[in-house]
Amino acid sequence: MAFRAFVFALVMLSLTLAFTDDKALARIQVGVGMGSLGEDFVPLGRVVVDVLDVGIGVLAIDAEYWFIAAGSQWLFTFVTFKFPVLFEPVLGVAPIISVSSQDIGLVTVAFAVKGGIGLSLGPWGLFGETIFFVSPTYGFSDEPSFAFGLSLRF
Amino acid sequence: MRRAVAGSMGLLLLVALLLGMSGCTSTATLTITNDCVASKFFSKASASGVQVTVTSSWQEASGGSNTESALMKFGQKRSFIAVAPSEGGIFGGATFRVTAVLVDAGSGENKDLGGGNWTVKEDGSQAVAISELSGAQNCR
Repeated sequence: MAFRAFVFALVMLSLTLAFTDDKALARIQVGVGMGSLGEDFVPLGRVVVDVLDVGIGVLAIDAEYWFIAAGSQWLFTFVTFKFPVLFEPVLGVAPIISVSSQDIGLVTVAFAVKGGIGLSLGPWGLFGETIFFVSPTYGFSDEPSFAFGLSLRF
Repeated sequence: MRRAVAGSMGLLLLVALLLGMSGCTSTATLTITNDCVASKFFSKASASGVQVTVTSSWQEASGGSNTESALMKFGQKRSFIAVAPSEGGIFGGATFRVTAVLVDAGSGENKDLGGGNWTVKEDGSQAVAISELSGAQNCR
């Protein structure tokens, strides 16, 4: 199942790069970090690809893979808008894909909305974000999740 | 001389005691994480969450099983421990039968999350998530 998820992520990344408007812009950021799940923290991996520069900001695809347990992971495929100022504020929205030992499926009960900041230190970067789960049925989740980590820009 | 003999015997007694104690407390542990997305939205209500029932039994052991039940909030992690039968013996491990129900106390609705079986070796542990149950699609 993990292999299928990896192939899926690779296809997503390839499609993103293929549809990128300006190849010179297609900067890739790869990162690792921790995300909060209730009172606990779980490891996460992250790939961000800048897709379109619209002057006041940059549109990007930001895929986050959360490792909850050996047989259960979440894949967030955020569409984000990043403002190119200090601390790079970013807003994003994503469907949630559940990857479990049973199957891979889209979470229909909710989607994720995030706000975050970043700090570039040469090719390295720090990121921190707050993620709200929003449900068409239940509204906002009672408490947000948090994520933070380190990334490397290519 | 007497002191040395007494000290050695005391030490041997202590080692025997420790070995004896470790021999009679073999366990197997299954740790469950509630990653059920649907339960995130009503986890503040006291009677809401995922009601997990775990029945553990030891392989190659005659007789009984132990059943535990717990209401788990979103993100909560809980360990279920199977203790080997006191009569001793060599066991391959414990089988944990997990069933779960998504309980929404607000609306009064329950959703069956199915179940799953996990075998954990003696003195071993395993981590699983609610998403690995057979009916986990009700979580999303």
